[in-house]
Amino acid sequence: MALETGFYVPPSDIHIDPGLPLSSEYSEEIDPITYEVIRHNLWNINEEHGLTLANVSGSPVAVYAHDFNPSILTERGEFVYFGPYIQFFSGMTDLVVKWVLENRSTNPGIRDGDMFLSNDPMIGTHHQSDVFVLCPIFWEGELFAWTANALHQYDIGGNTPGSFCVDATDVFDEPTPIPPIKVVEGGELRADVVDMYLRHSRLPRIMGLDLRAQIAGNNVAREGLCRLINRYGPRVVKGVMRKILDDAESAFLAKLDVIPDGTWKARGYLETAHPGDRDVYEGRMRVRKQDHTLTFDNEGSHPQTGSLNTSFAGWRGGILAVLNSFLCFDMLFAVGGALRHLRFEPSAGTILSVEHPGATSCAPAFATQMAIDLAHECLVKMVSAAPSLRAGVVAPGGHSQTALVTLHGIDQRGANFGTILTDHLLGSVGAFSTRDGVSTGGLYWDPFSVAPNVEFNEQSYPILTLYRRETPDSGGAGAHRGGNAASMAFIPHRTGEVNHVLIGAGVAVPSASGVAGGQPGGTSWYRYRDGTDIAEMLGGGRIPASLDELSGGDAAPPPKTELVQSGVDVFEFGFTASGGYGDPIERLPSDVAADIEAGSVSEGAARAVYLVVPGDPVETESLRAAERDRRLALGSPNGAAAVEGPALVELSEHLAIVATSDGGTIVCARCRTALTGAGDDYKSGCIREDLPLTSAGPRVGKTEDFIESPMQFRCFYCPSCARRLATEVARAGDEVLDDVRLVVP
Amino acid sequence: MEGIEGRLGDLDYGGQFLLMTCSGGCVPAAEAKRLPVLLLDSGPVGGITGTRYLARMLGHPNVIATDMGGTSFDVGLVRDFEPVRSGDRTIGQLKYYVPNIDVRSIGSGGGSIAWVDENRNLHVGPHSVGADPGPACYGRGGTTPSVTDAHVTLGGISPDFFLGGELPLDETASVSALAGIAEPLGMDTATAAAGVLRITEALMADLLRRMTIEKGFDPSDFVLYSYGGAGGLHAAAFARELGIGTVVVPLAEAASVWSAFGIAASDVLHVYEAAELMIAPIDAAAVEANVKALEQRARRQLEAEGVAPTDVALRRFAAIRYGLQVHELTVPLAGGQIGDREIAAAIEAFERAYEDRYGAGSGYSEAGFEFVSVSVEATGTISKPALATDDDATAEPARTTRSRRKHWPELGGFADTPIFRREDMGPGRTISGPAIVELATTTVAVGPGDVCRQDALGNLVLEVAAHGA
Repeated sequence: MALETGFYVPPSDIHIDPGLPLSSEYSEEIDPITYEVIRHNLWNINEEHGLTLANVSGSPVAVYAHDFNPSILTERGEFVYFGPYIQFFSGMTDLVVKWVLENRSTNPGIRDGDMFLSNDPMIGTHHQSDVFVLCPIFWEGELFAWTANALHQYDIGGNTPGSFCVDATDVFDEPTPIPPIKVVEGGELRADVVDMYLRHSRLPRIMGLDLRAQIAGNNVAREGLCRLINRYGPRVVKGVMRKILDDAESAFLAKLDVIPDGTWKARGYLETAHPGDRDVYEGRMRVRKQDHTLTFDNEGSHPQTGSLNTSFAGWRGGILAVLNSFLCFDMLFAVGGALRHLRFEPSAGTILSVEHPGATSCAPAFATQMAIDLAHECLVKMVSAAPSLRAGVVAPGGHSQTALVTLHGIDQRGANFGTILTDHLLGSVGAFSTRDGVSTGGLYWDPFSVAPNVEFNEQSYPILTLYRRETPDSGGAGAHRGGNAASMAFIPHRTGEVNHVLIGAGVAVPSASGVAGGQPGGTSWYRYRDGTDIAEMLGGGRIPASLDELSGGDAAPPPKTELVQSGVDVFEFGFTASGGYGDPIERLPSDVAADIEAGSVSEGAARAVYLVVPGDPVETESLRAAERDRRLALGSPNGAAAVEGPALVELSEHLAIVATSDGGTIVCARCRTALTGAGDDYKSGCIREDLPLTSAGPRVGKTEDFIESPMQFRCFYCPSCARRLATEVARAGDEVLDDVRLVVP
Repeated sequence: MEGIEGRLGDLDYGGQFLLMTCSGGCVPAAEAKRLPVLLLDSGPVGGITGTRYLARMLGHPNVIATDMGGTSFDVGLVRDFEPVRSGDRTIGQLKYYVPNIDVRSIGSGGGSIAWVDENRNLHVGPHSVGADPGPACYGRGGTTPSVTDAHVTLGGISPDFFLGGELPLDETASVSALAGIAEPLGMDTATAAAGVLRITEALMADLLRRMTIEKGFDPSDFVLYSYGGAGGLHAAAFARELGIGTVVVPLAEAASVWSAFGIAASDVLHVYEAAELMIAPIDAAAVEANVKALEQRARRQLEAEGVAPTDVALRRFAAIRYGLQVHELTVPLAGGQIGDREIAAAIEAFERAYEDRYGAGSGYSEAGFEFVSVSVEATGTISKPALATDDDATAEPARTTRSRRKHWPELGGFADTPIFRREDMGPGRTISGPAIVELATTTVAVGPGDVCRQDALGNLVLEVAAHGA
């Protein structure tokens, strides 16, 4: 039983009690018109499921952040449709369904009219706040399909209101996980189970409402599916479900067919395992493609620690969130087709696949987000090797690791309040291989989420916003620039003081990496100025545009801490931006001039990072030529020689493997200079330069303020044409990331 | 605007120059210049105000209003004789907050392209052939099959009576465009064309269902109004999918310009809002002060715009929500003095509306109530187009001698189908399907089992048979 053996990884052939009859028969002869009509009906049934859930719940978590997702699965737990909301649940929902099939089909049994509830990270969620409700759908006594949803709960217990227990050392400091339990039996809500469940929460009434919303959503989906079966017959509907999966699978395989076999890696660092900690923790991901199989592992990731961890389900969910967007976008998120070709090899007991009793209540803020960032980096490198898919390459972003702020205290009406500000949903979209990213472009893996209006915050909480705006220079520099992120500042308003619990990440180390020589997105930050003259300034009719205009002492609070803000203290925070693509000194000077005009890039950064002097092409070219000379003068690791001949395969837009007598040579695609043999790490043939981390961008913060480990920004240049081919952020002493290896055809 | 104003001056125009806004009424040009954001997407809103105008005359409290043209399909709702409103709109990644009538648009219309994917599945849209070259049958060189081509292939649209015969259509071009998708599907052209229409109608039904459910309504509680040139051929089919029994093609020929009619039928309207969050127990005096201030502004503005005080109507509303919840609903506030009793009545109305929309037991009164904002809608009544009424006491069937072959999926193929034109119709006359009503600017399909009647105002009213009936 899974409870005794760490986390649940479903076997390829799940064991279901033979006493549970399955409806598996299907028609193979469905005309294309009926298929298209039923296909859309199924998608809409799933949408209605989600809308009903959001309507009945009415919580901002469901309606604004869309922190839920409905899905339809086959009788054996394969996804047919997954909703267009938060994508990481697509790596979790099927795990719970399969676990229930394997572990509940005998006792207490799975019957018509039942629903199961679960939030156990060892089975199929990443943190306890994300609760799943599953509904088996029967037709004429046989299990035909499942519908299921996940929904984030305001508060499900633990030592911290809101259930993000940032100082937890293990799960016993956190909400007690609930393995799958029958909450509806034969159509009746089980009062004993509901009471047990609601007793977990500080807000039992609202959790009760959310539970009803989750049940109502499943009921709507069940009715819709039964209506469809009634009209077309079970064999036709099942035939459509199978064909959706088969078509999605073949569309996925068609993409894999144009990607060469190989191995791609990513590495990232999470900072501060608990308040007061000053260390960083490495996370790793590797994807191997062989023919039609992608295998993911996280070997080499740091052992589980503090509150940083996520579960296997969370790691898998992070991968799926990215994969859905990159490789399943054209199949209405029918992710079951792709899942047939994914293998997961988790290293148990790490921050990316925690074992019981490791803490996971903060997973979405830290390690699940890291899984998304690392999967993004791996898959971007993989897709870059396929010229026909390369236009879809986009650098990591979203909100990456970011600066979360929770507030509590007495509000402007004299009542208790507590909230987590969700302005980070403004996000930032990374640079594409063909164009710039999108400033405050949101989260691609939660496409419907919306950031609150400033007025909404001010109306709801006792704060007055001084400014909320795009942060110039925050998007990673590159030939194509990453989108800028937002930042904001506020003061307490109509209250004495507000209390902060900061759940920060990506403050000390950039987390949205640059692609193809681009720079990473700027880090997030907290900044605090106490005892200011803000009251006098506002009284004089002036709103400050920066903390620097105010009197008082400045402080940079660490990523995970608590503080009390009084009325004369100003609090500023900024979100992580997205990565850039390509060498910044190849950005068109006219684009840089337009950036300055738009306020996206400062004149200082234009000169320092892009080496552009607006309006002076001669000076610009001279600066850029000098930079190329400087790079080349750093020294060539080998005798750089050009190799002629057609490319056997491309690693990326900038790197190719050319046929040579010794089995192939990796060359710079622009100048054809040989870097290394096809079987070696191409970076070993580049000129390497190790820079302080602050060189990674004007908005990359000072690491040493928060962590002890020295960090580096490493650049890798072509030894002949001096193009920057790659960048990486690494802890000093960590080996160069050997991140791309292709199988030469 | 200044160009138009200048020209109106040259012509000695004595009336006022008004512009339609997204909030469902008109404003004078000066106000439109001050708040140009109100003009965005105001055209389709005209269709909804026209719908409300007609719905009140016909006694239809709940209407799904659909506007299907060549490239887009716009949908709005009227509930309890009032357009369903929204507080915000979105353009690209930017959201802006203005009180508006909620109209949603998808890229689907007569120009939607039918295509076959690599797995030999048939899809319709979202791309469109646009107006140029347009559907293959326009004869402008297009060879891509569209929804309009499917209609021409199946006899739904007459090649020699499109726009009353002004644009002769190339039927052969439609058939050969459709053949291009029929072949990989292994079907005959008519079956493929019928498939294109079935998919189109299913997609539209899905959209309407989702829109109504999203608002907390059941589509089968509604009547469907269908306007825009391309709507009449599909309306009964998607109404049937949604369990809707009545379809109205408003004012027949005018259906193709219904939004313009709606704009002409709109009053001058200003909406004033005071967003001050108040948490129960609500201070009635503070609510009254806010409302009174808004009303004063309203009267002053309408007076300045030349509206006689007797033509001014003010309505008060409160947007209310439960604590810790986001669904706010706007309910009427009593006129006159506002005291605790009026506040309690508004809260009661809110709770009723909430249960009506989101289901019994979905309310959360334990978290308390929040007044998010109060608003005042100030209407300056202006003259409206009067709709002529005919005596429709006759129940005579309409008669025609015209017919053509038209494909009906319900009948399993082509059938000789009577064609009715304007001269064959008359108030009170009925048409039993299968039949086609072919007017200069729109064509209406009356399916087998359906009955179409021209009412006293000139609307075509279809009674739609239920599925499988």
